[in-house]
Amino acid sequence: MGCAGHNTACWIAGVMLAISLAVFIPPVLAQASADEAPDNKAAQEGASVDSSADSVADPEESTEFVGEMYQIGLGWHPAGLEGLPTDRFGLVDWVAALEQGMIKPRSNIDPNVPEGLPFDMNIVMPSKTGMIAGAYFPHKTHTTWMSCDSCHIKIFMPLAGSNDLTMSTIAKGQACGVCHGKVAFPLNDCTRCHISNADAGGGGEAGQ
Amino acid sequence: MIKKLIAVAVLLAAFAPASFSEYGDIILDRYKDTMAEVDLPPVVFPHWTHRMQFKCKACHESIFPMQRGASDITMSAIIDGQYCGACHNGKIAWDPLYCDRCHSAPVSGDGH
Repeated sequence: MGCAGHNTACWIAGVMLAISLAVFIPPVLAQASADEAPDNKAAQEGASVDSSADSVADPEESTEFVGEMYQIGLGWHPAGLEGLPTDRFGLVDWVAALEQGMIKPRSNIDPNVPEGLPFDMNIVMPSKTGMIAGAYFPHKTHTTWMSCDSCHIKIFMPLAGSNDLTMSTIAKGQACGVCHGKVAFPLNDCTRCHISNADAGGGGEAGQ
Repeated sequence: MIKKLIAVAVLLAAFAPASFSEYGDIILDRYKDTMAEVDLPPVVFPHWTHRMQFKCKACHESIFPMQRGASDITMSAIIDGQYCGACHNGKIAWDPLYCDRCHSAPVSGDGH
Protein backbone atom coordinates (compact mmCIF):
# COMPACT_ATOMS: atom_id res chain seq x y z
CA MET A 1 0.00 0.00 0.00
CA GLY A 2 2.57 2.52 -1.07
CA CYS A 3 1.78 6.13 -1.66
CA ALA A 4 4.32 6.96 -4.27
CA GLY A 5 4.71 10.68 -4.54
CA HIS A 6 3.56 12.59 -1.49
CA ASN A 7 -0.15 12.25 -2.13
CA THR A 8 -1.93 13.59 0.94
CA ALA A 9 -5.35 12.36 -0.11
CA CYS A 10 -3.95 8.86 -0.48
CA TRP A 11 -2.49 8.92 3.03
CA ILE A 12 -5.75 10.20 4.53
CA ALA A 13 -7.72 7.54 2.66
CA GLY A 14 -5.34 4.86 3.88
CA VAL A 15 -5.59 5.89 7.52
CA MET A 16 -9.37 6.13 7.38
CA LEU A 17 -9.56 2.73 5.73
CA ALA A 18 -7.49 1.26 8.54
CA ILE A 19 -9.67 2.88 11.18
CA SER A 20 -12.88 1.75 9.46
CA LEU A 21 -11.61 -1.81 9.24
CA ALA A 22 -10.62 -1.83 12.90
CA VAL A 23 -13.99 -0.46 13.96
CA PHE A 24 -16.42 -2.26 11.71
CA ILE A 25 -14.91 -5.71 11.05
CA PRO A 26 -14.47 -7.18 14.58
CA PRO A 27 -18.16 -6.89 15.57
CA VAL A 28 -19.15 -8.54 12.31
CA LEU A 29 -16.69 -11.38 12.92
CA ALA A 30 -17.86 -11.78 16.52
CA GLN A 31 -21.45 -12.01 15.40
CA ALA A 32 -20.56 -14.49 12.67
CA SER A 33 -18.70 -16.77 15.06
CA ALA A 34 -21.53 -16.56 17.60
CA ASP A 35 -23.99 -17.55 14.91
CA GLU A 36 -21.87 -20.46 13.70
CA ALA A 37 -21.05 -22.12 17.01
CA PRO A 38 -24.46 -23.58 17.90
CA ASP A 39 -24.89 -25.05 14.41
CA ASN A 40 -21.53 -26.77 14.57
CA LYS A 41 -22.32 -28.35 17.90
CA ALA A 42 -25.67 -29.63 16.69
CA ALA A 43 -24.11 -31.06 13.54
CA GLN A 44 -21.40 -32.87 15.47
CA GLU A 45 -23.53 -34.39 18.16
CA GLY A 46 -26.75 -35.11 16.35
CA ALA A 47 -29.76 -34.87 18.59
CA SER A 48 -27.97 -35.22 21.93
CA VAL A 49 -27.75 -32.27 24.27
CA ASP A 50 -24.30 -31.17 25.31
CA SER A 51 -24.54 -31.00 29.08
CA SER A 52 -20.88 -30.44 29.80
CA ALA A 53 -20.00 -27.49 32.00
CA ASP A 54 -18.30 -25.70 29.11
CA SER A 55 -21.53 -25.13 27.24
CA VAL A 56 -23.41 -23.51 30.13
CA ALA A 57 -22.74 -19.83 30.77
CA ASP A 58 -21.67 -18.90 34.27
CA PRO A 59 -24.04 -16.09 35.33
CA GLU A 60 -21.38 -14.59 37.57
CA GLU A 61 -18.77 -14.40 34.82
CA SER A 62 -20.58 -14.23 31.54
CA THR A 63 -21.48 -10.96 29.90
CA GLU A 64 -23.25 -12.65 26.99
CA PHE A 65 -26.70 -12.70 28.49
CA VAL A 66 -29.48 -13.65 26.14
CA GLY A 67 -32.22 -11.59 27.76
CA GLU A 68 -33.02 -8.37 25.93
CA MET A 69 -33.11 -6.29 29.10
CA TYR A 70 -29.71 -7.57 30.22
CA GLN A 71 -28.32 -6.69 26.81
CA ILE A 72 -29.78 -3.21 27.01
CA GLY A 73 -28.48 -2.79 30.54
CA LEU A 74 -25.00 -3.95 29.62
CA GLY A 75 -24.95 -1.91 26.44
CA TRP A 76 -24.12 1.71 25.82
CA HIS A 77 -25.39 4.37 28.21
CA PRO A 78 -24.91 8.11 28.03
CA ALA A 79 -22.17 9.54 30.23
CA GLY A 80 -24.72 11.66 32.07
CA LEU A 81 -26.15 8.56 33.74
CA GLU A 82 -22.86 7.50 35.28
CA GLY A 83 -23.01 7.13 39.03
CA LEU A 84 -26.76 6.64 39.23
CA PRO A 85 -27.90 3.47 40.98
CA THR A 86 -28.88 0.62 38.68
CA ASP A 87 -31.21 -2.32 38.98
CA ARG A 88 -30.36 -5.95 38.32
CA PHE A 89 -30.38 -5.43 34.56
CA GLY A 90 -28.09 -2.43 34.61
CA LEU A 91 -30.90 0.01 33.87
CA VAL A 92 -31.08 3.17 35.96
CA ASP A 93 -33.13 2.78 39.14
CA TRP A 94 -34.82 6.19 39.16
CA VAL A 95 -36.73 5.62 42.41
CA ALA A 96 -33.48 4.83 44.22
CA ALA A 97 -31.76 7.80 42.58
CA LEU A 98 -34.46 10.13 43.90
CA GLU A 99 -34.50 8.56 47.38
CA GLN A 100 -30.74 8.86 47.68
CA GLY A 101 -30.91 12.49 46.63
CA MET A 102 -28.71 12.02 43.59
CA ILE A 103 -31.26 13.73 41.39
CA LYS A 104 -33.65 16.51 42.39
CA PRO A 105 -36.29 16.65 39.66
CA ARG A 106 -38.98 19.23 40.20
CA SER A 107 -42.69 18.72 39.82
CA ASN A 108 -43.46 21.77 37.77
CA ILE A 109 -41.83 23.84 35.07
CA ASP A 110 -42.43 26.85 37.29
CA PRO A 111 -39.87 26.68 40.12
CA ASN A 112 -42.12 28.73 42.40
CA VAL A 113 -44.81 26.05 42.54
CA PRO A 114 -44.25 24.09 45.78
CA GLU A 115 -43.75 20.32 45.74
CA GLY A 116 -46.90 18.59 46.91
CA LEU A 117 -46.97 15.58 49.20
CA PRO A 118 -47.35 12.25 47.47
CA PHE A 119 -50.54 10.26 47.97
CA ASP A 120 -49.81 7.14 50.00
CA MET A 121 -52.03 4.09 49.63
CA ASN A 122 -50.93 0.54 48.99
CA ILE A 123 -52.99 -1.71 46.77
CA VAL A 124 -52.67 -5.43 47.30
CA MET A 125 -53.71 -7.75 44.49
CA PRO A 126 -53.75 -11.33 45.76
CA SER A 127 -52.61 -13.97 43.35
CA LYS A 128 -55.40 -15.44 41.21
CA THR A 129 -53.64 -18.73 40.62
CA GLY A 130 -51.33 -19.22 43.59
CA MET A 131 -48.40 -19.87 41.26
CA ILE A 132 -46.71 -16.64 42.23
CA ALA A 133 -46.96 -14.24 45.15
CA GLY A 134 -49.60 -11.56 44.91
CA ALA A 135 -48.76 -8.18 43.44
CA TYR A 136 -48.32 -4.96 45.38
CA PHE A 137 -48.89 -1.46 44.06
CA PRO A 138 -47.52 1.43 46.16
CA HIS A 139 -49.24 4.73 45.32
CA LYS A 140 -46.56 6.71 47.10
CA THR A 141 -43.76 5.67 44.78
CA HIS A 142 -45.87 6.53 41.77
CA THR A 143 -47.44 9.78 42.98
CA THR A 144 -44.03 11.10 43.91
CA TRP A 145 -43.34 11.20 40.20
CA MET A 146 -46.71 11.33 38.45
CA SER A 147 -49.94 13.25 38.68
CA CYS A 148 -53.20 11.42 39.31
CA ASP A 149 -54.55 12.03 35.81
CA SER A 150 -51.64 10.18 34.22
CA CYS A 151 -53.37 6.91 35.14
CA HIS A 152 -56.88 7.83 36.32
CA ILE A 153 -59.15 7.24 34.61
CA LYS A 154 -57.70 6.56 31.18
CA ILE A 155 -55.61 3.58 32.25
CA PHE A 156 -57.06 2.46 35.58
CA MET A 157 -60.53 2.94 36.99
CA PRO A 158 -60.08 4.12 40.59
CA LEU A 159 -62.36 1.43 42.00
CA ALA A 160 -61.19 -1.84 43.51
CA GLY A 161 -61.99 -4.83 41.35
CA SER A 162 -62.93 -2.85 38.26
CA ASN A 163 -59.68 -3.38 36.36
CA ASP A 164 -58.99 -6.67 34.66
CA LEU A 165 -55.29 -7.01 35.32
CA THR A 166 -53.48 -9.98 33.91
CA MET A 167 -49.87 -10.34 32.83
CA SER A 168 -50.99 -10.84 29.27
CA THR A 169 -52.75 -7.46 29.10
CA ILE A 170 -49.81 -5.84 30.86
CA ALA A 171 -47.33 -7.44 28.48
CA LYS A 172 -49.35 -6.08 25.54
CA GLY A 173 -48.68 -2.56 26.73
CA GLN A 174 -51.94 -1.87 28.53
CA ALA A 175 -52.48 -1.04 32.19
CA CYS A 176 -49.11 -1.20 33.95
CA GLY A 177 -47.48 -1.92 30.61
CA VAL A 178 -48.17 1.63 29.39
CA CYS A 179 -45.05 2.65 31.28
CA HIS A 180 -43.41 -0.52 32.56
CA GLY A 181 -41.41 -1.88 29.68
CA LYS A 182 -41.17 1.44 27.86
CA VAL A 183 -40.00 4.07 30.30
CA ALA A 184 -40.16 2.50 33.75
CA PHE A 185 -38.53 -0.76 34.83
CA PRO A 186 -39.35 -3.69 32.58
CA LEU A 187 -41.72 -6.54 33.31
CA ASN A 188 -38.81 -8.97 33.44
CA ASP A 189 -38.27 -7.85 37.03
CA CYS A 190 -41.02 -9.98 38.61
CA THR A 191 -40.11 -9.50 42.25
CA ARG A 192 -40.41 -5.73 42.05
CA CYS A 193 -44.20 -6.23 42.18
CA HIS A 194 -44.78 -9.85 43.19
CA ILE A 195 -43.47 -9.82 46.72
CA SER A 196 -44.04 -12.58 49.21
CA ASN A 197 -45.87 -10.69 51.91
CA ALA A 198 -48.45 -9.14 49.58
CA ASP A 199 -51.03 -11.75 50.61
CA ALA A 200 -50.72 -10.84 54.28
CA GLY A 201 -53.01 -7.82 54.05
CA GLY A 202 -50.80 -5.14 52.56
CA GLY A 203 -49.17 -2.18 54.25
CA GLY A 204 -45.53 -1.78 55.08
CA GLU A 205 -42.67 -0.95 52.78
CA ALA A 206 -42.18 -2.95 49.62
CA GLY A 207 -38.65 -4.26 49.18
CA GLN A 208 -37.10 -2.41 46.27
CA MET B 1 -9.23 6.10 -10.51
CA ILE B 2 -9.33 3.07 -8.21
CA LYS B 3 -7.61 5.08 -5.48
CA LYS B 4 -10.21 7.81 -5.78
CA LEU B 5 -13.04 5.28 -5.56
CA ILE B 6 -11.50 3.68 -2.48
CA ALA B 7 -11.00 7.08 -0.87
CA VAL B 8 -14.63 8.01 -1.44
CA ALA B 9 -15.89 4.66 -0.11
CA VAL B 10 -13.66 4.90 2.96
CA LEU B 11 -14.75 8.44 3.70
CA LEU B 12 -18.41 7.41 3.48
CA ALA B 13 -17.85 4.43 5.79
CA ALA B 14 -15.81 6.42 8.28
CA PHE B 15 -18.45 9.07 8.58
CA ALA B 16 -21.37 6.66 8.88
CA PRO B 17 -23.53 7.87 11.77
CA ALA B 18 -23.38 5.72 14.88
CA SER B 19 -26.69 5.11 16.60
CA PHE B 20 -26.83 5.48 20.36
CA SER B 21 -30.08 5.08 22.23
CA GLU B 22 -30.98 4.74 25.89
CA TYR B 23 -33.88 2.84 27.47
CA GLY B 24 -36.95 5.05 27.38
CA ASP B 25 -36.09 6.95 24.22
CA ILE B 26 -39.19 7.77 22.19
CA ILE B 27 -39.10 8.21 18.42
CA LEU B 28 -41.47 10.90 17.15
CA ASP B 29 -42.13 10.26 13.49
CA ARG B 30 -45.67 11.32 12.71
CA TYR B 31 -44.48 13.37 9.77
CA LYS B 32 -41.60 11.17 8.73
CA ASP B 33 -42.77 10.89 5.13
CA THR B 34 -42.68 14.60 4.42
CA MET B 35 -39.56 15.01 6.53
CA ALA B 36 -37.81 12.29 4.58
CA GLU B 37 -38.38 14.30 1.42
CA VAL B 38 -36.09 16.98 2.83
CA ASP B 39 -33.69 14.47 4.45
CA LEU B 40 -34.76 15.44 7.94
CA PRO B 41 -34.54 12.46 10.36
CA PRO B 42 -37.32 11.82 12.88
CA VAL B 43 -37.02 13.17 16.38
CA VAL B 44 -35.61 11.24 19.33
CA PHE B 45 -37.00 12.26 22.70
CA PRO B 46 -34.70 11.03 25.47
CA HIS B 47 -36.65 10.51 28.69
CA TRP B 48 -33.50 10.05 30.78
CA THR B 49 -32.11 13.54 30.51
CA HIS B 50 -35.50 15.07 31.20
CA ARG B 51 -36.39 12.93 34.21
CA MET B 52 -33.15 13.88 35.88
CA GLN B 53 -34.48 17.42 36.10
CA PHE B 54 -38.24 17.03 36.09
CA LYS B 55 -40.68 14.54 37.51
CA CYS B 56 -43.18 12.95 35.15
CA LYS B 57 -45.93 15.27 36.41
CA ALA B 58 -44.14 18.35 35.06
CA CYS B 59 -45.16 17.32 31.52
CA HIS B 60 -47.80 14.58 31.96
CA GLU B 61 -50.58 15.19 31.40
CA SER B 62 -50.78 18.96 31.19
CA ILE B 63 -48.32 19.38 28.31
CA PHE B 64 -48.21 15.90 26.76
CA PRO B 65 -50.84 13.18 27.01
CA MET B 66 -49.09 9.95 27.87
CA GLN B 67 -50.07 8.26 24.63
CA ARG B 68 -48.33 7.70 21.36
CA GLY B 69 -49.95 9.69 18.58
CA ALA B 70 -51.99 11.91 20.88
CA SER B 71 -49.84 15.01 20.35
CA ASP B 72 -49.67 16.74 17.00
CA ILE B 73 -46.21 18.19 17.41
CA THR B 74 -45.05 20.51 14.69
CA MET B 75 -42.35 23.18 14.62
CA SER B 76 -45.04 25.86 14.50
CA ALA B 77 -46.58 24.50 17.67
CA ILE B 78 -43.18 24.34 19.35
CA ILE B 79 -42.28 27.88 18.41
CA ASP B 80 -45.74 28.90 19.63
CA GLY B 81 -44.91 27.56 23.10
CA GLN B 82 -46.87 24.31 23.00
CA TYR B 83 -45.47 20.82 23.64
CA CYS B 84 -41.69 20.91 23.64
CA GLY B 85 -41.84 24.67 23.28
CA ALA B 86 -43.23 25.00 26.80
CA CYS B 87 -39.62 24.73 27.97
CA HIS B 88 -37.53 24.84 24.83
CA ASN B 89 -38.05 28.53 24.26
CA GLY B 90 -34.67 29.93 25.17
CA LYS B 91 -35.81 30.76 28.72
CA ILE B 92 -36.22 27.48 30.59
CA ALA B 93 -34.22 25.40 28.14
CA TRP B 94 -32.43 26.02 24.87
CA ASP B 95 -34.43 27.43 22.01
CA PRO B 96 -35.38 25.27 19.04
CA LEU B 97 -32.56 26.46 16.81
CA TYR B 98 -30.34 23.39 17.07
CA CYS B 99 -31.99 20.97 14.66
CA ASP B 100 -29.57 18.06 15.04
CA ARG B 101 -30.11 17.79 18.78
CA CYS B 102 -33.63 16.47 18.27
CA HIS B 103 -33.75 15.34 14.65
CA SER B 104 -31.29 12.51 15.16
CA ALA B 105 -33.21 9.25 14.83
CA PRO B 106 -31.49 6.56 12.80
CA VAL B 107 -33.09 6.26 9.39
CA SER B 108 -33.18 2.81 7.73
CA GLY B 109 -30.71 2.54 4.88
CA ASP B 110 -28.06 4.61 6.60
CA GLY B 111 -25.80 1.58 6.90
CA HIS B 112 -24.92 1.86 10.61
